[in-house]
Amino acid sequence: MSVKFRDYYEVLGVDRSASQDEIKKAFRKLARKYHPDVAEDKEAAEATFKEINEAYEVLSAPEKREKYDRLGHDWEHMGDFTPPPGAGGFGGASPGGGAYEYHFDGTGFSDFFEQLFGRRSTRGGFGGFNDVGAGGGGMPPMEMRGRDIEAEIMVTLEEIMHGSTRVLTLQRGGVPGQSGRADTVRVQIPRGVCEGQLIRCAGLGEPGYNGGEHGDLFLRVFIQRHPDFRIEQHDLHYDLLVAPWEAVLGAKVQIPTPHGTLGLKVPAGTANHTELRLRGKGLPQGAGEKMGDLYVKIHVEVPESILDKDKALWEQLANQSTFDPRNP
Amino acid sequence: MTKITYTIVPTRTGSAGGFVDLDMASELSGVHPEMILEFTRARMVSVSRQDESGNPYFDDEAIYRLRHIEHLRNQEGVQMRTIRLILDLMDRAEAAERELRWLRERMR
Repeated sequence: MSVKFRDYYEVLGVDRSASQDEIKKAFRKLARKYHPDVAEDKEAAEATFKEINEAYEVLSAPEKREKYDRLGHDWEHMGDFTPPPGAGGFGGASPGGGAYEYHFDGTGFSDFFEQLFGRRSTRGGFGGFNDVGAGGGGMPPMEMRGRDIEAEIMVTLEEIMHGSTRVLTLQRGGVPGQSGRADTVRVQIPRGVCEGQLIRCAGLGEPGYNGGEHGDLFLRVFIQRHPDFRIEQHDLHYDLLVAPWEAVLGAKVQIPTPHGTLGLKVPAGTANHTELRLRGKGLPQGAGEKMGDLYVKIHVEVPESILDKDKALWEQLANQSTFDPRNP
Repeated sequence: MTKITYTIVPTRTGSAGGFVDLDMASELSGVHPEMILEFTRARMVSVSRQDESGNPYFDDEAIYRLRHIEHLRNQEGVQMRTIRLILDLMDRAEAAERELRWLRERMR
């Protein structure tokens, strides 16, 4: 199977030598622009957003970036590529014969990403086609359940909030006597899933042998990066940037939450890195009504350059203020 | 290329985020209920929740682990002690990966 090369640096619009910080900034900027919640053309934005997310997923992790730089280079010059052995844990030969390869569509990762970093594998109760009926002479063929299939699925914040039905296309190739068949399957992403959770989709694995049941499909949840929030289990973390005078005098600000925009009062005299907790404004904990919390961390920002007019005000404050942080 | 479309019909065994009892966990994984309880005592598989009478319920992760244990035991001929080690290493690797992803995101 040949797969189109993806230039992740180009997607994020950064240089090949970009620092981790530059990559993060580029991601945040683009992700805000193309986030499906804010963009006008939602469909186009969603596709772009996925690309940005994937590029960031690779370039923000040094070990993935290194692998991409090393392996991606050759493939880029070969055009569409067929991955060399050892490129990733994709497909995989099962013990006992019968090399299997799966190809998914709709998991939220591109084929390119899957080839390079995919961890999909099959594992099932049985040794493979060679072993079927190998129980010896007169034994009747045994009924056996099909293999399980494992894959990762990228889930959005929106899906955690409301749950969703995803359509996956599963192509099976390389199975003797069963050339490239595409199955379209619908899978339920339950509300309130969290990072790393497994979702078992009954009967969507390999067909069984001799009338045995189908194996299952296990999807490992991988949560899409969000430009505004960090997600920890069912809690959300948000960085709120405030001006120095807002921290001192207090302020009323609007913050985005998955529950809509909320007004937040920053109390007067708020210290830098103070964390405010908005109870129940996080993500659902499972299918029920219970919700995680939203943590808002205050970051007092200092202007990098200021206008003369502002400078005069600061100078006035400096001359007249009685505040002395080194001698309180 | 032929296209076959399946639709998932919620069934007793299609837990999709739900929980199953000991008997169903045994049926789904092919592991004897007594063995499952043994694994939970050895902390190789965790019980998701218990009802008032203390009956254990298992999630998809537990089913996955039970099948994994079965596979290692029967197909790969791996000894129980080694399986424990493998599961432990896999758990640690996964936890470390998750934490790394989170910490990297936290740096700003």
